[in-house]
Amino acid sequence: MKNIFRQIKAREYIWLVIALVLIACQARLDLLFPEYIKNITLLLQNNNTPFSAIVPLCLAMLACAGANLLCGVGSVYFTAKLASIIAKRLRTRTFDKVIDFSLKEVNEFTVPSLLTRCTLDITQIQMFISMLPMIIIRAPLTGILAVINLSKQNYIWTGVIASIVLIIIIFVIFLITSLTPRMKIVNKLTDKLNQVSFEHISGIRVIHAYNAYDYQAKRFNDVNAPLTDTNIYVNSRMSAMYPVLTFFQSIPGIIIYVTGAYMIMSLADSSAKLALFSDMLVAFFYSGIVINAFMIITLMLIQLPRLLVCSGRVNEVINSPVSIQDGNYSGEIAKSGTIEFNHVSFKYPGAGANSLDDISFSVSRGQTVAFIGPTGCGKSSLLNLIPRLYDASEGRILVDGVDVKDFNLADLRSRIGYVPQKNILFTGTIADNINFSGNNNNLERASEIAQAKDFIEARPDSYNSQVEHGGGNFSGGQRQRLTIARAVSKSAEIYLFDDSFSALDLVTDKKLRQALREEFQDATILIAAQRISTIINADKIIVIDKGRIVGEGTHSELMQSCPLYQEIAKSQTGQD
Amino acid sequence: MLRLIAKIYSRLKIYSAKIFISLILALIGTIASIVLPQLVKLITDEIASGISKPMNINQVLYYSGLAVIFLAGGSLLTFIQNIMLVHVSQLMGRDLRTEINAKLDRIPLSYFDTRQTGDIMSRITTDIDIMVNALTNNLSAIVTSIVVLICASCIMLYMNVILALVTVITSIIFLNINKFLMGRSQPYFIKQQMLLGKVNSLAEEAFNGHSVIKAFNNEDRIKALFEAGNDELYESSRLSQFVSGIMQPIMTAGGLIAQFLIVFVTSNLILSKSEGVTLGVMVAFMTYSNIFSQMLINISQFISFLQPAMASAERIFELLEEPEISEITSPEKENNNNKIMGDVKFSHVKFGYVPGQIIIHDFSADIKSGQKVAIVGPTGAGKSTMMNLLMRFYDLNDGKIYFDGVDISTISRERLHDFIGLVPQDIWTFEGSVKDNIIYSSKNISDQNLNDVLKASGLDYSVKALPEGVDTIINDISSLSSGQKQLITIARAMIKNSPVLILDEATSNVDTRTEKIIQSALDNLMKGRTSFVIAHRLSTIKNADLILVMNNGDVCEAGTHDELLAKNGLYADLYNSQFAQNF
Repeated sequence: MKNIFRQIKAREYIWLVIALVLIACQARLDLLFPEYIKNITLLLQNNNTPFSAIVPLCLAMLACAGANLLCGVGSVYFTAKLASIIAKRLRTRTFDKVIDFSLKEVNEFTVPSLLTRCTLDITQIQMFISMLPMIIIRAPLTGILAVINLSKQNYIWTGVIASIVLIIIIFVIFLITSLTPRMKIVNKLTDKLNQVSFEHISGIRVIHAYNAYDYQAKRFNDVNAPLTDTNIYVNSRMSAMYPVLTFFQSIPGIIIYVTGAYMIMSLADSSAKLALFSDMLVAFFYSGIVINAFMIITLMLIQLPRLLVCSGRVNEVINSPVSIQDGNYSGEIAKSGTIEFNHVSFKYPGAGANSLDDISFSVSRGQTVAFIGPTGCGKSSLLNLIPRLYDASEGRILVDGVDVKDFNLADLRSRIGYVPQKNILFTGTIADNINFSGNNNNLERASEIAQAKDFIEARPDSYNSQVEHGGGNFSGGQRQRLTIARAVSKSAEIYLFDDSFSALDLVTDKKLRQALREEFQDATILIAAQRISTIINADKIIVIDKGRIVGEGTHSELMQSCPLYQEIAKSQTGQD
Repeated sequence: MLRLIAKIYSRLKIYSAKIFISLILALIGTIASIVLPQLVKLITDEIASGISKPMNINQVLYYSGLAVIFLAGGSLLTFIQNIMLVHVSQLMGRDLRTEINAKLDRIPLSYFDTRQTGDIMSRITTDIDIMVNALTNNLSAIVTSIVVLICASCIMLYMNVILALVTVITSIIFLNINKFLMGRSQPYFIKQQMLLGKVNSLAEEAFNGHSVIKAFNNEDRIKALFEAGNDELYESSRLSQFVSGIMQPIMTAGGLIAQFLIVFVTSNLILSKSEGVTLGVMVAFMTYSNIFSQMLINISQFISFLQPAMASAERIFELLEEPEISEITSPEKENNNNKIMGDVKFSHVKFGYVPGQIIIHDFSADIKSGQKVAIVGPTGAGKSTMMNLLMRFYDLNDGKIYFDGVDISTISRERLHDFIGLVPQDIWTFEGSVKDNIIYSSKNISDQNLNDVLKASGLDYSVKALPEGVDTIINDISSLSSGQKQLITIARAMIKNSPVLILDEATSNVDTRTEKIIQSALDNLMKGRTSFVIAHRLSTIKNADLILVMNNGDVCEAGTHDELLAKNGLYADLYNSQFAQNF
């Protein structure tokens, strides 16, 4: 909650104050109405009152209604403004913070959770803030004013209204808290239903192929039946809310009438009787207003726990420290294109075992070094450590002779062209995607190297063609070539290819590698790969198994010395 | 609209008794709310007359007692009819969900190619929820509101014509103001939803592409992009929140103005000694005007709920009424005694997923029982398509496919699928135990069977390492690699033990070492069966009896490995490029 209010600036505090004042006025005006009615009834009881005596009171009522409308519209205007601006700031802060995170934090939170926090949670907060002035001002103030006015007149009626308010609050809170566990079950079952439906649709071919119709129907029914039962349980109990509230809304009016009748009876003086009668009418109207106000506040407060969860989740992101920060090496770093790993170990946060264990090697300028090994051996993790997407747990990594942890991050990353394992593309044009770092315009050259030129230029809008969400309008191989074009459009001294040729057919793979070597004769190239053919000509091949280096050398050397390498090579060439 | 209501009604028919009773209860319940202001009027007048004369307290108590009974009875009846409606609408929702789920198995696969998974899913969950809620909350509300509206109007007219007109006209004016505003606010809401979606997908892309943004020093640009979208969203959410927020003060003011008019007119009537107009009438009319405007709000709310509910109903029935796969009614030659050989013959097959876009032009091949056939070729050549056609996932544009000499379009799909074990390109597992995922729909599988398959598929070691062995649930938390999941799909085909086998890139996610381990198992599995293997890694298919090289939807070369290499065509090109000598 504290963080929410920290988003408010001085000017907006004025909005908040204006909104609160307007709502306070509304509360006051609400209670003024019965006063006028009371005065009018007093006059009406006297048969000799001329109509002209009533007109000013009636006009005052009209003015009161008009003022009520103005105050209402005004307060909505300012609360809407306030809630939207706070939501906007929270969104920006959360988003910016996530961008500042390192991959470690992103993985700890997980992407879906971060997304919910950045969007849905904040929308919830916005909705609650827009109700906040109503909750903190309107209902309590109406209640207090009514009690003050009433207690001057009659303690019994105050007591009646107060106790009914109490009963309503207890009833609603009891109903909601007793149903909350089941509501959570409904949410869980709905997720489950979604899951089963998703599996059904994504696996429709398998279901047909295995004639698994009954099996799938049973799985669906196993969720559908309890979901329906729980829904019936929750909703039928929830449906008690409206009738019970209606009952308690009208009951105090009747009690006030009955007690009023007895009190009037006990009085002797007829003018005192008349005064009490009008008071009774006022109390009757008040009871409606006050109970309504508290009913609204209770229904709003039910959402408070949910808000606290949402704001807690957003806070967690905003307050979470960023683990990878700029280093403080101040001198100029020569671009020598060397990489050195010194006894590097790496463990994913929360993982039991090291993903990389005591890795040491060095690469000099212009060399091509390849990493090969079974899936999950640690090749990708190793490449990720060089641009500091993750930090090594132990040991040192030197780029251009300087520890990567001492680099200014932007400087370090500007030296590196990186192609990730996943083909990540962004909505926008092809040009936007290739020229992603925004400082190079050599689109055609980059596309040519990446063997992407032909299919890009075959599109009607060429480089200005749209890339849809996630690159959905390109095939896997095309996406991969676009991500390669993105990396090579950057003039870097080091290029990292993380399993980046896997979706290419072998002919394209070969052409691409040739173009790369011709274009970047001085660049240092690191390749993680599965296919021997991709790396057969590398200056050095490092074989990794279970996070450790088990072989190092050229293809022909490794064919002699490294059993794992031989095994991989054999399995791929079929030359047993 | 009427068409849709008729469809919904036809599904509610089985519950018509319950619905009828609940509507009756609702009507009785509403009588209480209509009578209440009358009683209040009587009490007010009774007390008022007690000011100048002695109070008739028994009469006051009698009316008050009646009021309490009516209130309690009305509430109770409303509660009971609510419960009945909850049952009816939830059960209808359940039945619709079951029906849609079963429907998914009967619509052509092309339906799924052209639609997003999320869209179909939302019909099963969100749309049905919306419809069910609309039914629960509105079915009785609309009926009772209309009844109350009519009864209240009659009583008011009976009590005093002028006051009745004043009340009704004011309520209607304010309702129309609100309706006007609601119409005006619609575009803001649509825009807000759109911008929210935009900001959402921006964030999704940015978070998923986090590593790329970092590696390319793109943080500032992406932040600026988000800020721009966020600014737009702010403006539109502020406006839509404002426009929707002012409805409430307007309705409140409407109520107050109605009260003012009632007071003003009654005062005039009382002072001019109009017949039958008392303070009680004033109080009663104020209550009626509240009830009246509340019912109008109910009805207008119902109409605004109705639109999304109808849109949802439309989407639900659209899916339910999709044309189904043509299934032959009287399958020929389904003689179970015939031994299945597994001969497959493609004869001049012509096919396209989209009408007018032919991908397979003229595909012919004759495969003898027990042969191992490899299909190779560049991406998009139509390899998987051929297997989809053999499974009858799609119907041919032209040509025939024969299974053991029988045209497959005369065999029922279920029977055809029984003959063929498929390991599809996309790895598919569901949230369930490893055991359930492997056995899946196969019947009568013993533990021994399962263990054999685990061993043969190379899964036994990694399954043992799982926390609960074969009973480990496959989900996001349990860390099964995609390779392991792919092995599960292979094991699933192994356990099905069918005469024909299709392996569509079945080892693409398995590293080469593991692939080698299961290759022998696969070879064993394929022995004696007709098998189709689609593979990128040509090394795995060298020993195939027949290699079909596909390009642009046709077979361009066919033969054994050695024959094709000697031909020096596309196959030789592909094969040699795996071992390109110049990096």
